[in-house]
Amino acid sequence: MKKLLILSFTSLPLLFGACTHVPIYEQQLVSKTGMTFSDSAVENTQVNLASQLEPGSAISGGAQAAGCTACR
Amino acid sequence: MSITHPFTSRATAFLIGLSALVCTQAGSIDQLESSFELIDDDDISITQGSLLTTFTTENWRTSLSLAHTAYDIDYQPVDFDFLGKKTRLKEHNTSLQINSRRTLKEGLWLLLGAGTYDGFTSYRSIWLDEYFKQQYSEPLDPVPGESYVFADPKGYNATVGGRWEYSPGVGYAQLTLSTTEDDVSPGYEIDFEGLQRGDLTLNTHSASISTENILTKRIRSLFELRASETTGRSTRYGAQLSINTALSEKFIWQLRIGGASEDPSFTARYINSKIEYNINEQLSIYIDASYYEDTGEVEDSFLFTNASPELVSRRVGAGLRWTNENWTGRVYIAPFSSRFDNSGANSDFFSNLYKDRDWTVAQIAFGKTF
Repeated sequence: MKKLLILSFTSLPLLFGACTHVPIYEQQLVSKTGMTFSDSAVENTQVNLASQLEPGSAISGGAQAAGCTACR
Repeated sequence: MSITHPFTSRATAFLIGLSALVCTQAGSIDQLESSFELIDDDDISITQGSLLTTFTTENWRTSLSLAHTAYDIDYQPVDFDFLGKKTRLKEHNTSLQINSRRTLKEGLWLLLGAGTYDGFTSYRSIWLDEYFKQQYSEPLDPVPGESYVFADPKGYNATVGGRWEYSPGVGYAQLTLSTTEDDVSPGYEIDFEGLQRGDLTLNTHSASISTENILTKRIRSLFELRASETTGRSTRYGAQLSINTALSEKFIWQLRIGGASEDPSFTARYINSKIEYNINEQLSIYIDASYYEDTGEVEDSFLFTNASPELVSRRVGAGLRWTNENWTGRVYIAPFSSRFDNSGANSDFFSNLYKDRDWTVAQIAFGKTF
């Protein structure tokens, strides 16, 4: 059930993307700064160091970050 | 005894050489950025400075980033830790990462990446390493087993992948495969066989798929799904959905929700929402709010555990972005609270590490496009 939900969740944006086609001349709003997904530190407003405090928000962490022997 | 891995120093030298070669061959520099970030509380302060440059050659688009993180920690053992003593810990981490994208044919790209770092990767690992050093540097007669080893954390990573633009200018899908090797500060635990030391080196293999789409002329989405497997642990799965919506010409709403899970019992969930208002073409202001919760690190301990207990954190912040023809600047500040549930955990020796904290987060970033 859980895997089915994840699969559905994954396919949703793909389905939307496949069903719609927004021509370039109508992409003015989605191309503005703040609307794009970027690694740039001035455009991307995420806090890099937050993963130090919230280990589940990054793919790394867990045993490595905590130095935990008991972690399995 | 020092933990060393000859590959890491070779990887660093290789990356520096490769970076120098790429820089000298660069057709044109597209972007140059520097940023500074701070997370600060009464007894722990973490600062990070980074430089990022992006440049393009005939078929390659490459980004190169260098980051330095400094940790300043007032280590305070609990009152009943008779072997523990207060001390000031200062540690550093330097990392270098290069990511490249090569056009194979129209709508298809090859992705390559490599990186290396030297130093502790988190304040928790520094705190725990000091605890283990104070407890286990001297032989624990009559307890048999391993002994403390001097920690020298470092590591490297490599990534390969592909991007397919299935709908030109509107949507793409991306697959990446990564491998990471980390020399870590190991954990220690006493069981029936004596003092046990954790792994000195951890290997992580991960796969990630993502898809970005322009759903309507006002909505852009990014969905990421990740799976990673680290030495001695179950596979960790993570997913994140980001949706950016132009509510009007001047208002942008960003929503990011995600989570992670790992057997036997680790689960994390988070949500971040941001509203940005464009005052004019040069100036924007924004406010954001975040909520995060997890069930605590996966653990199966014997007597007591150094694994973190359940955590809830919240953040509400405000920022400003200024843009002119070639320059962009951004500042951001936020209070950040983290609350641990220590009620059910047998982690008394680590209660000063896993205590509730009220952090201050600050960011400053400048960028120039060419």
